[in-house]
Amino acid sequence: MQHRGRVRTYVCVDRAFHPAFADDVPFVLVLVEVAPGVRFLGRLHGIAREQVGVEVIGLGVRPRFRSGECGDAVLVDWEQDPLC
Amino acid sequence: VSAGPDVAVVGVGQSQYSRGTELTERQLAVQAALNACADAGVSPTDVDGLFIPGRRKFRAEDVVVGLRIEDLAVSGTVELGGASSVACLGHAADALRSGRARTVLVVGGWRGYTDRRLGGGGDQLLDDLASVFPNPGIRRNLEHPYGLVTPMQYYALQANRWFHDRDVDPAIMAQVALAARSHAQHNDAALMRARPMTSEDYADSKVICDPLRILDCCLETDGAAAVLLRAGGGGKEPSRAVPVLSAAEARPSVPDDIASRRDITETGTSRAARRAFEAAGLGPTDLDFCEIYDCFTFVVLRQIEDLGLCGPGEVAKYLTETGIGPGSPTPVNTHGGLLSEAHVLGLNHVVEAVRQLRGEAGARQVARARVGAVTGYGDFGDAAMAVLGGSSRG
Repeated sequence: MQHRGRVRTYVCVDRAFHPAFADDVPFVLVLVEVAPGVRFLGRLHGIAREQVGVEVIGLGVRPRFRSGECGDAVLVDWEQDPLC
Repeated sequence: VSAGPDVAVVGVGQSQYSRGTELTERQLAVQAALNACADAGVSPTDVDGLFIPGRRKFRAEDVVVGLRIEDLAVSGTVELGGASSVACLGHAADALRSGRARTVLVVGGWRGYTDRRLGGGGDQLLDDLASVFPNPGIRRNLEHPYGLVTPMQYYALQANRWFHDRDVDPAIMAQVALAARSHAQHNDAALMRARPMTSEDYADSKVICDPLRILDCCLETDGAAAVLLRAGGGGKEPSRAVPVLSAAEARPSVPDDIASRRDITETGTSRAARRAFEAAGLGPTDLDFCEIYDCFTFVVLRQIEDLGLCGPGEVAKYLTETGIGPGSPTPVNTHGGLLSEAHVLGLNHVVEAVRQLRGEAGARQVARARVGAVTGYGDFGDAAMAVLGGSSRG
């Protein structure tokens, strides 16, 4: 699996639908394709919510790992890949 | 396509639609069912078939007891989310044509306001949604930890890609919200009756989950609806029977996960519509009106194209130039829909189609309404469509 991917679509989360996210909003979730048919949902870092629109579709991203927030699980997030 | 006797809706009924109720789901469902039987002039004890859309807090047994049914010959629960109500019509028709049952009831309802508010959040909402949607493992392990929780977020995920691919301005969704609200002004049962909406109201409404505004989202309501079907023209007044010309369903290629579909925006609607039109021997230009499942305005845009009311990529033009409000060539959601009447699992769309085809829709009656389509949509893209009306075969 390649460690880079492209954003297929996104959703802006401005409102916490669970108290666990109350301190995090607003944030952006992206659906990233890293290989044909292999996709990850994760949070997008490094781009402010206000800057996010349809242009984010197609953006090249690389993974950024987040731990300590969801039990023992490591969450896979994404940030813009300067090489893409 | 369909062999056997004609199947028709012979009765429709509903409970009160409200925001807040003292009644249980079971009581609401029984109330709607009894009203449908009374409308048909059929004794509730004669019901021998029963289909229920989705897992509810009442079961077939509750309806049997509530109606004092003595010999239920066939029953089933249909799991296509918001497409279940319309899909139930197909299963009911099959049961009637095959002779397994003579009088089939479809009844659905919930306390969508009293029991479950989707904006509320909390652990109970997560449990609830994981049990309602397919594949709770994906929901709990791959989506909830990231904050993807409620239906409007999934729809926004699809909507953002859909608007991007078609280069359509999401502002067009306003036309769906405004049309639904206009229709509702002529429907006494609509919760948004006497609460008209202007373009300014829409533009000023809060963005809940970009691009979806609060006025793009359906209502959260308590209520139940029921439809009674028979074969061979049963019912007290045969002239009021509304033939079910066809009913079909379809699921996306990966029905439990939007993210894994090759095309994220894929749904079952175009295939369900094709099947239903073929079975009825009709096409979109034959429709005098449509009742289109409208959990969100966005979903109506998609279905208008997928049904063929307009060509691919033409929905924005269709909405601004032709329109779907009162008096338009093919009015959509003449009762106000889930957006402005009530969210009764889309079974209220079937009830409305029947009333239109009987000519009993009062102030909102569509002129010369002979054939109408009803769609269902849910669970990330499950779809169903029925074509009702026309003249009986044979």
